[in-house]
Amino acid sequence: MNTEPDLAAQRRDPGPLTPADTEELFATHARGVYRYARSRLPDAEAGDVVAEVFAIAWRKGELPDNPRAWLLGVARRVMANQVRAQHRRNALAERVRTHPAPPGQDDVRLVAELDELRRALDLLRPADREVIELLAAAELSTSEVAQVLGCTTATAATRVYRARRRLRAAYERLTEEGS
Amino acid sequence: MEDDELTRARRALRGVDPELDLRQVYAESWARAQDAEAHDDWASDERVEIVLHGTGPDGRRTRRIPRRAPVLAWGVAAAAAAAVVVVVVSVAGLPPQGAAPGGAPPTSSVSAPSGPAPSDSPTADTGSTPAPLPSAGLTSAAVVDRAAHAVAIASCGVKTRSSLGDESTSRFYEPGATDTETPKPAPLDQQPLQLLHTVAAGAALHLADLEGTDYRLHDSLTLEGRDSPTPEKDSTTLARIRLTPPAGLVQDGDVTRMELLIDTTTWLPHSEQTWAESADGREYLVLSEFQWTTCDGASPSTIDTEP
Repeated sequence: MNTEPDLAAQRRDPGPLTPADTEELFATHARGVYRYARSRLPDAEAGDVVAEVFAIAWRKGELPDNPRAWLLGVARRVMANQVRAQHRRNALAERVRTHPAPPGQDDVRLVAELDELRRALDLLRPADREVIELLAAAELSTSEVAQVLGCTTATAATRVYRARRRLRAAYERLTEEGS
Repeated sequence: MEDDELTRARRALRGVDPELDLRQVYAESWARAQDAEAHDDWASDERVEIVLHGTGPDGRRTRRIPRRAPVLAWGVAAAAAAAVVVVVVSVAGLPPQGAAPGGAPPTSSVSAPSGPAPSDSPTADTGSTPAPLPSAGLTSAAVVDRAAHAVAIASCGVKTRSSLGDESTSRFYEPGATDTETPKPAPLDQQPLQLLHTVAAGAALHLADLEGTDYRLHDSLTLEGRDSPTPEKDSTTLARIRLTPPAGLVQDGDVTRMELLIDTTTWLPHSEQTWAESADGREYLVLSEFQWTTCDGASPSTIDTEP
């Protein structure tokens, strides 16, 4: 598995953010940020995280050195903030529960796969879970994982190896339980 | 060929892509950026926006909710809290709000059912018998709020004692202590006890500040009855909250989990368990206890490590 994707495509020269940059930044990274948020949150809240992350990027007004890692680092912080709005989220969840959208065929498959991933993640330690969420959402390189988590690349490499091994075991356990 | 674990996880997350309305989220993000007051630094943002997705004909609605600015130091918090009347807790099934630290003891308590102590309980060896009680609608966030308030008015300091295996260390923190706010990152394997002791104290003493950090507060909350070691005192009820600390607190490892027990009589932190794992896979569990000091004489800040 390639954990060192094309870094050249991710890195940009740092500098002021132009209008063209904002669109390109969003088009390139919005889905990755959404997937990362979605690994933990319902769709409505994950979309909110994306909006907030890019609003922060616009306000910052500068193109970061490694936009992907920087944006995911911001998303991590935004999600941590959202935990504190738990009671409001509960109210939102209750509203969604009482006004559910009719599921379609794709939704059923989507829910099943995402549910399986979440159950596997629930079997992991928080530190492993965080690594997997980053790797799965945006295919980060080991050095980018290190940047987001604020650790050395060597530590990140160890954590990636360990987290993947434990995720594999978690999936196997779910498969055994299901069979 | 069978997918590997990461391919499987990535496929699950790619499946959510169609959910994202790029145009709408882009417009919303841009509007927020334009709407923001002069915020140069996202880290200093004192407000948080909560977007509610309406289900009626209006579609999407946005509501801006001011976020309480974090309390920066005990001194400031204590001064502010001095003018605040202690709110009486009226959660059914819980003991009434007790006196502030140093004040009169509470007059009633919950009769806690006895049960086996968990093996990793910090007081499992003291004869205490924690057992789960109904949470009575109390949330983790509410416990943190009350504990932060109680800590703010406990202005005469706290003695913390932590142990790791046969080693232990203790320290007295005075009001306004700042050396717990951002523990100096250091290799975990070198001084695990001292490092995790500081991390544990930092989380317990600065609960009001958690709002502005990467600490993640879990929803799960359990209440445990704890018998008093002396028959003269009532038993207490402890609320156990769970925190996932941010990465980077220590070098060459991670603080993976923290569980903080809050005394629901005083709402002060009672004890704490801190788990960590080094990059080599070595695991640590540090048990910390807190003794809050009344304002009739505080000890100077000292460190003494016992073998």
